[in-house]
Amino acid sequence: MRVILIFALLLLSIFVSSQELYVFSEPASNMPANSLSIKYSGKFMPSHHNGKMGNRNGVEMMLGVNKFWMVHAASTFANLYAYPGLHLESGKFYAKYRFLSIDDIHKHFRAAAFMEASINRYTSFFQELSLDGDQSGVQGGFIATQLLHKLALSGTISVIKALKNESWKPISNANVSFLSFQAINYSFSAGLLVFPLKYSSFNQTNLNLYIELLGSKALDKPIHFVDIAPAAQLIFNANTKLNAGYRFQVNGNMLRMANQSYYISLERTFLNIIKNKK
Amino acid sequence: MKKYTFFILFLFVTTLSIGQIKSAKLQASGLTCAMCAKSIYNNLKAIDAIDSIDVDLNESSFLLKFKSDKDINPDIIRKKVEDAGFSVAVLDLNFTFSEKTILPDAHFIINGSAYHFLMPSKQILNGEKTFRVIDKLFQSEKAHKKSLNLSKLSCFASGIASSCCFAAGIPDGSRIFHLILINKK
Repeated sequence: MRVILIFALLLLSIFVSSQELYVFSEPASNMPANSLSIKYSGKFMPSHHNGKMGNRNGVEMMLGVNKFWMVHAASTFANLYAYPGLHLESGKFYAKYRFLSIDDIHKHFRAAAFMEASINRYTSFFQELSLDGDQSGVQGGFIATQLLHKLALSGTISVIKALKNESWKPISNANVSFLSFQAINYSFSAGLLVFPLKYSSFNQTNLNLYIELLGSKALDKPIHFVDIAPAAQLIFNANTKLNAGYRFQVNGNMLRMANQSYYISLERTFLNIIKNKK
Repeated sequence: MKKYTFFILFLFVTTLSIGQIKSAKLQASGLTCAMCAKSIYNNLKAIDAIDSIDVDLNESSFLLKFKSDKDINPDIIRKKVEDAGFSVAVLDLNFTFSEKTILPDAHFIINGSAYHFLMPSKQILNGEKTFRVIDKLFQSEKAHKKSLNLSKLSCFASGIASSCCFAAGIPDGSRIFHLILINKK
């Protein structure tokens, strides 16, 4: 285990030269003001209980409000083990405030605070806490991102609290005392711009490679997990992103829906959605 | 005598246009990717005074060509870059002059904005000359700290016209940009 972690950290330090449009986490930077992004994502989770492939789909809209604020609204639709058939699962609102920005040529250091809240129609019977389809809850935290020419490094730390909402009706006779309701989530991400080596136009396809370390530690139970998630990203026409990633657990003792998952997403950005001539 | 000089300067500022800004080179900071540059490019395109933009993606720089006789406001250019999520690292304005004498701390209104020329000595300018805007938020913090040594005048620290500018006919409290001459290769 320790060997894998050290190896991962070494990999991160080798990636010394990109991008911060991470596949599994958010950077401290915001989207341009007055721009809108729409993202579809699919997460595929082989169940270690019955071997079937569970699937969760997300639709997310992101809006750059001004240079300090951006907001997201997201929902998930899933076809999972406990509730077969594609159905609406959850809705989420996310807001991020960038409070620090130190820019230099091909460099920046940025810091932001974020808050998010989600409502979920279903009760999770797993210990892992997330607002992307798993629980109703709130989460708040901080992000710091350093861009160094082609390399971008970012760290996030947050506290998540799952809420027992009124529809929280555990399956009869199920023992739910093992569930966790509070955790610290953290991530450390590195991204590298691989292609093009030299830019010649906006429309060139970009290739970014990412490696992220994603972890969670419950505050009310002695449980945790650490995942590693490599991902690749293609950017077309400077407005369309195609992401593909694989996430797997390297250490942990949490009961999770899946210890590994495949992820794919497609995102289109629309710049200057409201035209104002000056 | 001093009053008399001010009066002459006042007339000079208000009655004569000393030149025009034809183009500018803008370098943005805080980005590497083409997607980021594209958001700046799109924002700049929305400025009415800008006729065309050439982008150098590797340098994150933009060559802006202006329409003639339009008001050019460096603050609007800066705001467009900041709205995209980035900062201005360099804004070099290309002026055209015909035999103009510029004294140290001369003030002129050009294309609708007031400029304070931080010249070490009197110079006669002819043809195209490049001046760099060295006000706060038009340079990286590091570069601006160095620039602050160039003048102790209060209008430089604040970017707002004060006593020295008023004497030159720039109304107290209005926005003023500070320029240094850049020697082009």
